[in-house]
Amino acid sequence: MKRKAPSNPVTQTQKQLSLEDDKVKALFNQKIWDPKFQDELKDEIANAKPYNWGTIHDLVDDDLLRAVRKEIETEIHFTKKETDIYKVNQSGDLANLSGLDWNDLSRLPNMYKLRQILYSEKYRDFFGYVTGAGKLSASKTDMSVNTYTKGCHLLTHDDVIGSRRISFILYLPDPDRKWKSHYGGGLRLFPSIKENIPYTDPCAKLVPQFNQIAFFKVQPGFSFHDVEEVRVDKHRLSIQGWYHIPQKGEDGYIPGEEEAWIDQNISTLAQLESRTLQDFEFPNAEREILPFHQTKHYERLLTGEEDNNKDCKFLSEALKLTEREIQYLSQYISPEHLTAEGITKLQKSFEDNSSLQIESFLNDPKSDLLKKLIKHDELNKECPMEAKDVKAPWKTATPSHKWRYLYMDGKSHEYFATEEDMLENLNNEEPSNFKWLKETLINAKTSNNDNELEIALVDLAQFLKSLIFKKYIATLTLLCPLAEKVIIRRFRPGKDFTLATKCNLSEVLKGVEGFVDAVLEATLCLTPSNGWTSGEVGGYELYMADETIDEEEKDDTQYERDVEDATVYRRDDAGDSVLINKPASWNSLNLVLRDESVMEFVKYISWGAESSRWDVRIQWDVKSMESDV
Amino acid sequence: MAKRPLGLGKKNREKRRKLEDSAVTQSSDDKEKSPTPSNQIDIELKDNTDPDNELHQLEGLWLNYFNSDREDEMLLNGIVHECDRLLREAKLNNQSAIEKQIAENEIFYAIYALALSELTIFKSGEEEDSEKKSKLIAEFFENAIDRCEAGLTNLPDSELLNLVHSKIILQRIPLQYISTMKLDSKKTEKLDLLSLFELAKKKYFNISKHADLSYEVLIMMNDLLDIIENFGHENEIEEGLDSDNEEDLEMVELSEEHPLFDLQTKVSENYDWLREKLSELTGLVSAEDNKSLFHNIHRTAGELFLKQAEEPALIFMQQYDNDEPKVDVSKLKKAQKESLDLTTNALKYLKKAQIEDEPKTWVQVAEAYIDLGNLHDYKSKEQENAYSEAEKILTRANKATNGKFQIILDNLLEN
Repeated sequence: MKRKAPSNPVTQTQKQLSLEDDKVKALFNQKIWDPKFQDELKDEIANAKPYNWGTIHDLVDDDLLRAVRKEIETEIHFTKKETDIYKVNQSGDLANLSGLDWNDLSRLPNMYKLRQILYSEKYRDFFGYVTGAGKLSASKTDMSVNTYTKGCHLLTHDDVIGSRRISFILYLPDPDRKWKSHYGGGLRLFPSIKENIPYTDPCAKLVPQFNQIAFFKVQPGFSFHDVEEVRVDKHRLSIQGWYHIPQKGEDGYIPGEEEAWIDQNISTLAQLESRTLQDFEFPNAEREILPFHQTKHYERLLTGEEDNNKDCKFLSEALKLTEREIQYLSQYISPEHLTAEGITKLQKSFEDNSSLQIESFLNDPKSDLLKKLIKHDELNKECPMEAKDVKAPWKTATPSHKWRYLYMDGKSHEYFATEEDMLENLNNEEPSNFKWLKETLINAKTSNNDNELEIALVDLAQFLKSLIFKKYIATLTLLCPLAEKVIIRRFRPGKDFTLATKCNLSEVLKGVEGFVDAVLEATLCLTPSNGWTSGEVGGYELYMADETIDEEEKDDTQYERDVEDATVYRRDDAGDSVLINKPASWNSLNLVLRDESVMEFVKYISWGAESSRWDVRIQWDVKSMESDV
Repeated sequence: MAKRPLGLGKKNREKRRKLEDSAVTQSSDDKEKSPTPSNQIDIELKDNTDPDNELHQLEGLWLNYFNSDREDEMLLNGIVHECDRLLREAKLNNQSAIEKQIAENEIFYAIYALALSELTIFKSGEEEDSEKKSKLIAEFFENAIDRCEAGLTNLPDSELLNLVHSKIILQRIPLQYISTMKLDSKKTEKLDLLSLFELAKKKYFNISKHADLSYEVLIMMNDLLDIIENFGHENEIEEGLDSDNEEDLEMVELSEEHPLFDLQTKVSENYDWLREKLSELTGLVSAEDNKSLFHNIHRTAGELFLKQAEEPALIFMQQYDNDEPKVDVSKLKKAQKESLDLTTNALKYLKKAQIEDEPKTWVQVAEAYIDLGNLHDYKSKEQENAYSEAEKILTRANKATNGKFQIILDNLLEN
């Protein structure tokens, strides 16, 4: 899993002109030099929840910061960048749009001065003291300028990159106006259920004001935070920076400390991918293995053995679906996708592209019914926005640095407040059973809540899990399903997303003859509103090539790659690496055979989206009946 | 036997490799010979039209553009070429039948002129040299007007062609003229924007059969008036204004020498004209005929009445502001009546503009109710009723949108 930093720390190669202590002190708010203030702040940070963090209002000289803001406005060019984890306007020097040259701040004298004082010994000592972080590097400075405009956001992460010790954000919104909470753009901090498992919702939010600094100790696996989406047409300008571990020759340098810290972070990252942590992911990645006798049906279909059954009338010589099966499928699927001609066309498209987009997948009666029910639900029922308020049959996908959405998977209701809740669930795992869920929903009907939508969606899930539907999929793809998983999902505006992940192949099925080292995935999108086509409000499903596969062929050492892997930000999704970009839509099926080199995500749904993104996601492990030559 | 299927990523790499291989082996000659991919489009014709009739096909092409997101420059070029071809062929081959058909066909000239005028939007984005750009845009507008006038020579009473002419003028003023102006620009003898604007008004018609075009022209006028009102504030607007009312902008007063000065003095008068035309247009379109047009016209009309109510409402509200000088009672009463009438009128339109599954259209009604409540006497029954209506709508809209309008509801309940 590769993520790139938007900026790199600058190691000062030449001696920087240092300001005298008095001048440094004078450019800060004088309160911060008061020992009483320092001790109170230190105490506050040490006891802060969910982890050690703090904030100071009116940090630096007002004139200096206003001048910095002016310089940024006139001298810095911003480019909007969007990946799975963020949408933000990143700074670039006017002469070099790809990045601001922090080694040459000659056109930004006030910015230069600001950096000098922020990395001055006086201030570093103050900062190291109040945060309890000890000595901090003066030579390794690390700052970037970002502006969050309407729709911009940065999803949950822990800021662990290389030798970072403290993260800080100095805010510069309009100095003459108060930034209000409902504008969004707040810094939100997440408690953790256990190491590397952040809770679904934040427990603290800072509404940024001009000349306010927020900071926290970088704690791998714990310092999870995000930047709430900016909801209004205003600029939330900020300078983001980090203090690093002291470098060789600096006060506080400890030989081997930085290397040990990075090693620890790398192992944390390895943990993120490990099975142990996957035990704490919900819905889990496991697909349920299909009964052997069921698999035999698909095998016979694909090898043509069903020809022996003289009683059956097939769709065509080549398509071994019976009339009875077609009739069953026509309960849900549009007639044009069930004719010999329609199926052959879909088969061809899948063969050519290893993927297939089918529009108007469900037939009109089912499509109309579901649209009516989803719209009714959207307009008339309050949607829970915090995990604690989510009631059965819906559950919240967790942990929040991987994904967040509501889902139904045919299992009992779960809500995880503690590690024990998760372990208890692990100890008593149950199989998916939509039939049981439907009965539960019928029994739970009340005069206020008839569960009509949930029942209709569960009916659909049951259909998608049926033997005959899988025969249909086997016919389209010429692949034999071995295991499956069906999840009904709802992505709420201003809340939900999935980050890019690779698929996990089934360890159990790897040895099966003909096993395809890829996962067959289908997403039936049932989003009832408009406005998704441009991607401006997110909600699109994107498949991209993981180019680390090519890059791994380069000469980087494993250590160098791992250090880069420990960074937080992801590569831009623009360019050749995008394989499929499917906006949220009504009644379209996206079928993809995804190998391990392909990453997939559903982009964070903007607060401005007209409705939630609704879909049903199905995954199958498959084997091929063809030879491998 | 077929090979085992490849996953999407591997398939993509294989395709890329094949493409690279074929690029290497293909000689440059081959490349030149390779056929250009054809961009075929399906044209939906109106009911009861002859699919072989070239003029009907042309109309189909135009409607295809008019009802699209209007990003297809190629389609527009195609329409212009088709118009050229039809005219040329009619003359060259002495096809008197088609020539006569064209001469008497207002739609043909309207499409020809509209397509040329519309192309200026693309041209303004293509050319970087500002002088060349201005010249190019001017040429297209001139051509568009020529086509319109050619049609009007044959069909002097054509309301449609007059309407098209009006649209071209309203498109031209901001794109060709205002876009190059600065605060210190000076009038020139050649350019009289006020007369041009008056001509656009004179040539405007509400046409029931072409209500969508009529509405579009009124929207252009609305946008133009907004540009004139906010001239000089472009940068502030880029910085981002928002729903907080703290940021109302004062109109920048232009010097008498400025080319927009005369138009700026007539903004209010022209808004009156616009409201009148929009109100008329609401009577020409029914929800059964064209639901979305019906909603849009009513929404714009409602918004314009709310805008008109702003000024008297401000006078009335001065009584609640201790920093403002006291206004005499009769003046307050007059302002109250005027703003109440306008807001009530706005509400009438906005209610009709509501769409069942678009909560923001309900919220417009709620906001108008809040305005109405503010204008009634303090703590009167009417005021309570208006606030209570607004609260009901906002509660429902918040439920439907996960609290998107919570801040408006909070403000209402707080006060």
